[in-house]
Amino acid sequence: MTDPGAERDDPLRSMRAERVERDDGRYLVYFSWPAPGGERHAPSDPVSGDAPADAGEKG
Amino acid sequence: MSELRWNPLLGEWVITATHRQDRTFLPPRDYCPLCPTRPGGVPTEIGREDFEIVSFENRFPSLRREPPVPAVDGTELTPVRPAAGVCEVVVYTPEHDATLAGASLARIERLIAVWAHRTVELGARAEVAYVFVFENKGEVIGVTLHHPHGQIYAYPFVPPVIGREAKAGDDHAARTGACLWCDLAEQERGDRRRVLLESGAWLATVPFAARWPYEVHLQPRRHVGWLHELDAAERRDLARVLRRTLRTYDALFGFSLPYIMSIHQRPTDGPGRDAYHLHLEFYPPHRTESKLKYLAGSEAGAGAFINDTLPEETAARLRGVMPLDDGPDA
Repeated sequence: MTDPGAERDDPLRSMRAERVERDDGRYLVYFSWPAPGGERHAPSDPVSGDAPADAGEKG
Repeated sequence: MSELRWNPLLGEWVITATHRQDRTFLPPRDYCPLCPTRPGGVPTEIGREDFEIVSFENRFPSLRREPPVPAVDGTELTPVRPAAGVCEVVVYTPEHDATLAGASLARIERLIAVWAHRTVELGARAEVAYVFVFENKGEVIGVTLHHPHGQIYAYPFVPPVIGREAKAGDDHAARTGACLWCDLAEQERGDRRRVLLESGAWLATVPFAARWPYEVHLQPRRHVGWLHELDAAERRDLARVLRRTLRTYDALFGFSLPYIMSIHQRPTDGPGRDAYHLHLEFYPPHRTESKLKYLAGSEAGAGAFINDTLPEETAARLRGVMPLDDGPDA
């Protein structure tokens, strides 16, 4: 497949997901990405940027 | 109060959620709960001055991680279950007046990555059988907040439409050994009349039996079930096709067209769902510039849709107003 943007980052792999708990018990997940040419963020657990092979599998 | 009540006549769950009657309804822009919290300003749902994309648990959820005990007792005929699950709001941008059609391809690619991420995480929860990513756009759809956002419902059951599609896919695979969606795509590519656009990895069509006048479906060429199974090039291509579809909608009547965007991924209730093929469906309610399609007697009462238009003609009209492809990096 032709991929004219192949040299660019893959947003799914380069994303940083930061989970924040609220006082009321609800959570937020802030998603961010490194600036072009900037430092790459490692995906953070427990909200991992690395997707398992099968979303149907229950952990 | 919130619970699942079984409708034995239709064989489906209904979610009661009485607390949603109190949810925020079209607030003034200075009180938008989806904007960043500005210094000295009213605190919003998002307690930061800036963000790229954020997903958070809905303040008025239909489904909860720790659901209340049902308010009524069920019977063998009409069982009741706690409304377990998760409802999230995905805010696409800190910009209040933006639209997905006007977003950069980079932002849409990132949004697709967020949808994939949330599907994987929520789908892995033991109580979740289906993760539904969707967007309601426009007041005529019932939107209560204008700030660009979508929603994710992680259901404890496979919803009826997805269940019917999955069964149709399973039956077709059992009968022919092939994928129903792949076979439909091959038929549309051969016919051409309902094809809107075809990219390297995606096909956009008005479906043969469209329920809505300007309904459009997007499906990947490759047989995958979830967004996270797409490779980077396929997700990048989806961003282009999705944005071009939305820009075509906006060119149709000369205003930002309301729509429901419904992302149909494979259920997450266990193995054995391999026949299901990822696709996106768009249902704009407009049948003309000033007239809406309502779900009235036949649709609401009998479940039989009546489409006032011919899919071959609406596809031709959409192709006629489709803007030029603006390249991979716009």
